[in-house]
Amino acid sequence: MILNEEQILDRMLDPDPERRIIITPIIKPEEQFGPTSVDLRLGTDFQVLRRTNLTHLDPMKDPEDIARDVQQHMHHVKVRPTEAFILHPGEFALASTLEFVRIPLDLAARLEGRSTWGRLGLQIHATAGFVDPGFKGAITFELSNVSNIPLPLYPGVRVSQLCFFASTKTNLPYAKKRYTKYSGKISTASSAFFKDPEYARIRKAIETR
Amino acid sequence: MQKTFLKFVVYELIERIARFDRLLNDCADEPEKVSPGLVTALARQSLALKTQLLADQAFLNELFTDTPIPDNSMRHWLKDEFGAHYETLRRMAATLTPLYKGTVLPETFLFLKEAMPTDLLADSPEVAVVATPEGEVDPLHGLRLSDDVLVSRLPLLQRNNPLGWTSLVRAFAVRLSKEAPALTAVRARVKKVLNSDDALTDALFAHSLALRLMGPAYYFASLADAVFQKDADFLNWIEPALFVGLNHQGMTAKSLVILHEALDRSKDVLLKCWGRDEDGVVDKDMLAAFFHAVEKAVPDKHAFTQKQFDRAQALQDRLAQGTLLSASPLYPTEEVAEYLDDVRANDKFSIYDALSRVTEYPHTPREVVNAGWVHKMERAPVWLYSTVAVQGEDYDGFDRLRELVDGYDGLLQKSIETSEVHRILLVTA
Repeated sequence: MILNEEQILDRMLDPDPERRIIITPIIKPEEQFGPTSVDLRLGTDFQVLRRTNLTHLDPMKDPEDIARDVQQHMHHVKVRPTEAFILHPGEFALASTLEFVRIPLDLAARLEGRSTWGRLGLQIHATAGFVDPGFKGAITFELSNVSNIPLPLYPGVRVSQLCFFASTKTNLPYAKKRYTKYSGKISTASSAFFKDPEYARIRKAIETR
Repeated sequence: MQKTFLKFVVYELIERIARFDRLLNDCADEPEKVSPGLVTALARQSLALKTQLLADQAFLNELFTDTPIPDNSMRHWLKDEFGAHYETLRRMAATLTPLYKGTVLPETFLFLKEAMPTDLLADSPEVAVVATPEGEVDPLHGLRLSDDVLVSRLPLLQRNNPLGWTSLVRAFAVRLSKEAPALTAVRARVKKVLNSDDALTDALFAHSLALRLMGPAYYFASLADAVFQKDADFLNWIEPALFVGLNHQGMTAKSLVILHEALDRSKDVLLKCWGRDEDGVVDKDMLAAFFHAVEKAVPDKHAFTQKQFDRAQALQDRLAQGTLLSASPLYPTEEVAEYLDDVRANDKFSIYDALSRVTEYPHTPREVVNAGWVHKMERAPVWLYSTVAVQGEDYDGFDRLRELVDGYDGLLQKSIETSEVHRILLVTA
C-alpha cells in the first residue's frame, strides 16, 4: 500500500520515534507534498567522472588500491548555495538530497524524478530508486542528462519525489544488512563496488587456481 | 574533578592526532602533489606517537577509575608526557602545512558571515582566512594588512572542524575591542584591576567580545587553545571572567560548569607545570560593569543569546542519532499531532493547514557550533575511553576515532551549509 499525504504527515508526527519518518529540513511543505509523495531537493555536492589514464577499474586489485583508483576517476564538485551545477548533454554525475531522510523499519520508499525535470531530459536515478527500511542519510541521485541542452541545477531545487510503501517490520534494516556500503552517508558517495563480497571470493579463486 | 579536566586535555590531544591522520590521508590520495615517501614517513611518525601515548596505560586507565589522581602523577603527565606528545604532533603538522593543498572550506565562510557582524567595524572589512601550522593561534596580535581586510588564522588541523572555527572570531573581536567606544569608557577601571597590564586588558576585551558573539562554544574553544598554548594569563584572569560573563548572559550548561570547576581544582598543578603561580582575583563589580560595556559594544541583534543557546541545547538528541541539525520544527511535534486529532474530531481538517504545521525554521551556524560543543563535552569521555582504554586484537581505537571525527565534522558542515540553502529558499520573491 502506498501512503497518501495525510498518512505520510501522520508518520512524520508519530509519537513513537522508531516509527517516525524523518525528512529534514522541511522548508515549504505546502509546495513539497503531493497526493502520495514528498518532493526532495538537490544538495550542493556532486561527483563527476573525469578522464584519467587508467585503462579500467580493476576489481581484482587490493581494495585500498581500487579505492584510490575510484578516487582518481571521480572529481568532487561543490557548488555554493546560489551557484548552479551545469549538467551537460550526455553527462553523468552523482549528487544527493539536501534533506536528511530516515525511513522507519516498517516502511520502504521509492525515489523518482519530477516530471518537470524529466521533460527537460534529466534522469535522477538508474538504480538508486529503491530506499530500504531503516535507511538514514542523504539519498543519492544518479543524474543523467539525456537531452541535448545543458541543464543548470541549483541547490534547493525540487528534482525528485519520495513515496512510501507499507511493509511489515523488517528484521534486516539497511544499516544492519551485511556488506552495506552507504549507510548513514550525508554527502554524495562514489561507488564502493569493490567491497561487494563476490570480488574477494573471485580474487581468492584466482589465487588458488 | 581533576580527572575531568585531564580527560578534556587528553581527548583534545587525541582528537588533534586523529585530525592529522585525516589530512595525511587526503595527501595520500594525491601522490602527484605530495611525495608518497613523505606521507609514509609521517604516517610512521604518527603511529609512533600514538604507540607512545598508549604505552602509558597505567595513567590512561587511571583516568577512568573513581580514585583521585595524585598531584605528582598529574603533573608528570601534563608537564612531561603531554608536552612531548604535543610538540611531536606540532612538528608533524608543521611539515604538512605547506604541502597540504586543500583550501579553506566554503562552510567556514558561511559560519563567519553569521558570526562576525563586520558592519560593527568602522571599515566593514572583508574577511580572509589563512591556514597556519598547529600551535599558531594568535590573532590577538594578528596580521593587519589594511583596514579593508580582516585576517583570521585557522590552524590546519582545524580545517574541517566547525567547532575549531569558533576561535576565528577572535581576530574580529580584537579589532572591535579597539574601536568600540563603550569599552574605552571602562578601560581604565579594568586596567587597574589587572595591575595596569595593557596586554592583559586587551586580551580580556577581545576574549569577552568573542564570548558575546559565540556564547559557550567560545569558552570551550578558547580554553582548549589556552591549554595547548600554555597561556597562564588566560587561566588566571580570562577564564574566570568568561565564566562570569556566561552567567551574566544566563548561559550555562552542565558540561560547562563541570569543566570550570574541574579546571579550578587543577589550575594550580597546571600552572606550576608552566612555571607560573595561581594568580588573578575575580572582581565581580568590575566584571559586572565591564560586561555591560561589552553588551553595548555588541548589541543583542548581533550577540549569541540565551534563546539561541536554548535552541542549540535542544539539538543534542539529533547529534546523538547522527541526524542533520540544519532546521527544527516551528511547532513541537506533540502539539501538532494533538492539533490534528482535534481538527479531525471536529471535522475541520484542511490538508494545507495541516502541512503548514510541519514547516521547519533554519538554525544559524552559531547554534549548530554551540550544539556541537555541548554534545562533544558530554561525549568526549566515552570517545576517549574507546580510543585509549579498550584493547582488542583487531581493534584500532584511533581508526575508529578518526571515523567518528570525520562523521561529526561532516554532519556539522552539512548542517551549516543546508541551513544556508534553507534561508535562501525562504527569501520572498
